[in-house]
Amino acid sequence: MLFNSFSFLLFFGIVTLLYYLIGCRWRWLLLLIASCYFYASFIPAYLLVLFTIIGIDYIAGRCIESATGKRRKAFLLLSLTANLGALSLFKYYNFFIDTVNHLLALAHIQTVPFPLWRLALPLGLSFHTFQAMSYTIEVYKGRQKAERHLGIYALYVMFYPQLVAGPIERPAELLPQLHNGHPPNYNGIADGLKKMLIGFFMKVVVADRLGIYVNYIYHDPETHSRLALLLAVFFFPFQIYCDFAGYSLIAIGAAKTMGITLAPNFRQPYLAASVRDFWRRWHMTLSRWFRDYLYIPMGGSRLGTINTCFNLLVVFLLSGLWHGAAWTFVIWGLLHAGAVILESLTDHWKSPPYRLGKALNTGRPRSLLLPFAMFRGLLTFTFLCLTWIFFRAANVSHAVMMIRRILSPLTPWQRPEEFREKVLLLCCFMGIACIIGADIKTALFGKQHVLLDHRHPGVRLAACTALIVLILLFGVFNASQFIYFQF
Amino acid sequence: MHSARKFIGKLVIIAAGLLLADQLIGRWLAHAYARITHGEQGHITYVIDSTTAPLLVLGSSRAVHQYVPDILTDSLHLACYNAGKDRQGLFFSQAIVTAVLKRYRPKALILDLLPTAFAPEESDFNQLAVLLPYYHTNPEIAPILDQRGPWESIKTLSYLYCYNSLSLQIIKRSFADTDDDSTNRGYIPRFMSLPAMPAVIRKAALADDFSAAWLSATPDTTIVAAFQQLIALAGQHGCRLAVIISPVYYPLTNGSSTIHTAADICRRQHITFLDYSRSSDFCLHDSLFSDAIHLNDSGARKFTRLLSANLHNSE
Repeated sequence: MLFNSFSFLLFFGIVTLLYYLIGCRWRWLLLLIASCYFYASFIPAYLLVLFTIIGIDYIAGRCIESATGKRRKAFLLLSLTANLGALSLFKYYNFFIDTVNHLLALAHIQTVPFPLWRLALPLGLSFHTFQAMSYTIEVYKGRQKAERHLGIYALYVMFYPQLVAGPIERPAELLPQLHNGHPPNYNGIADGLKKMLIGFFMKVVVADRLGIYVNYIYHDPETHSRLALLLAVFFFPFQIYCDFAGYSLIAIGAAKTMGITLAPNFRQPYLAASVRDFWRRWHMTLSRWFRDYLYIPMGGSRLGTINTCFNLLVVFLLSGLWHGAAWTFVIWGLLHAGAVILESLTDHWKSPPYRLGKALNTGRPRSLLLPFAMFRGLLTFTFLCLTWIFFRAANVSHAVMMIRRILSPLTPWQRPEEFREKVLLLCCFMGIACIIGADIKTALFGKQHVLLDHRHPGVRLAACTALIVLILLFGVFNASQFIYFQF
Repeated sequence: MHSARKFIGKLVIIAAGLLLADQLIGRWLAHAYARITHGEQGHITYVIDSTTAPLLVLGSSRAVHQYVPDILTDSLHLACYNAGKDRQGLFFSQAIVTAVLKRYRPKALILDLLPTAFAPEESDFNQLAVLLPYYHTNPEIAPILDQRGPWESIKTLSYLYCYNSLSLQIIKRSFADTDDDSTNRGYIPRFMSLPAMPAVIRKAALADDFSAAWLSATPDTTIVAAFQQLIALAGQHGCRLAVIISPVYYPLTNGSSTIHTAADICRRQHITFLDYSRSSDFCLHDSLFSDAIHLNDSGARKFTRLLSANLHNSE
């Protein structure tokens, strides 16, 4: 049951209605049953994997709290092993075995190839294992009391709006909200519904429309012209942004209608002035997870330049692997690591406006700040576009071929038959313009939705109706998968 | 209680606004759509509502770009129209045949079948969205469209849903309804040849289009049923049917599960089945292909001439 399906709308409507009709005491049970049903609608058997992880982490949490000394650590290790073990088995086993088989073949060592695991990856495994691990780590560090109520804990891992693609929540933020009963707050419900509407717009109107063109080009990049390839490279960053941010908004909105606040996941990522800044704005809950549970415990930036660089390399490499078990994701992570390391090494360099201001003894000349910031933003965006090629391409050779064809003077600039569907391209550009415009407006003026949050109720209602009409008119209703579901 | 009433009141106002917009915008879109005579929409409307060609070509992009109606008309002495459509599978052909047979009886049908047409991955009803504008005007295809999902009959109550994604095209064609594809009775030629590239990369390209898994996949029962229904429908109306596997760049030396299944069904039903997926006249000829699975214009002309001769002989 995908968020962008009619079945989900029905499911959401019924669950939300029942949520307010039944007493506060049983709401957790309703949400738990709804979440099980939601997850089972994909592949029911994987509920068992989820229940096993929940059971182990619940027991580990209780034991960590009651134990002392080394036993605490042992229980934490048990929990981490269970979560990372499930992740390794389902997500990385085939990648590892495939790599070993390839290496053996390269070395001309003749053995029977190691068998591959023929099971699909449980949906959203990377998300809920990370959320589960953050619980046991927080309990271990003493910042979180172990949850006594198994049902509430199961709901913390399984809460349906964020079960398959985040945001990755912290126990201190989500668990208390699941305990509390929430009387209907109509402003909150309206706010949640508006967020969902915007999420749907981003997903079905912008992301899925861009996806039609991007998938067509990435499917066989060797036959397309340079312009077609460049357009696909330019479109994909917006496709993945609208796909994932759209999903996150629907999740946040759906939770909000039930009075539960989830952490924001995006903050105008393509207005970032640097790659580091990008990671403060993109998939913020994952960045926060890696920062708090990996980067800082490894020493962060406190142990000198070389250690900092090493820590950054490890974090981004794992972040790449978190996204997918393929060499394309490893390269993607390494490219980001390289950029962030370079940025941290050149941190002390003064920016040109600063140096010019100092030379002229006038402080920072304001007239130069904006063009310089725009230049940096553009440079960052170009770098991101380049790295997204590896993220999206079917394999490394496809990605390299795309880059080579874009740069090669032998590639024809354009082929007329590639641009027959002008209306599709127009829709793509209009969608991107909407997203960039909205992000710039939010960055400059703070207020997100001028019309949807207008003080006059008539304008608000008209804006909501118009947005639904736009979604119905221009949305792509082929219930296409969210990109991040595969992780 | 007061805020609840106020909130529900707002929801009712939005619902009423939506209903009004659906009727006003949707009806205008339906009216404008019916007047389109060119482009993809004009092509589908013409095939469903107007064509009386005794010979129809059905299929996906491999039908659109590979069968030249002029050549078929001249050699078979039957006026031909290419009713194929890019990015469509067997369900689209089934819907077209169902709609056309409601109106008239073509003498013959040529169905171009993808070598992976029966692979489960091809069971994508979403592509049938292009037929949603005909859901109410041509109720005979509604059961096929209903397979898009359990809620389809409810969703199609909305006019906006039926014309979803077509609004910009409708607006554009309301002002300039010109033929920008330079079609020739449904045939759209491709003029480019395969670009020079290392053999390894070219091999990888084909692997993506017809992956080994797809070629060997167990046939999807829904698609096979649609194929058999199409054959039965043609038979009931006395239309001769020929099922063709057109050439591909790399010869499919072992065939595919689709080819074997289709050949078997056709043999049992006494349907003409011609397989060019290993034809040395076409396979590995760079100058005849625009990509790994589509012939260019010269390839299409050569193929149509050969097909016409073979069909003539099989008569």
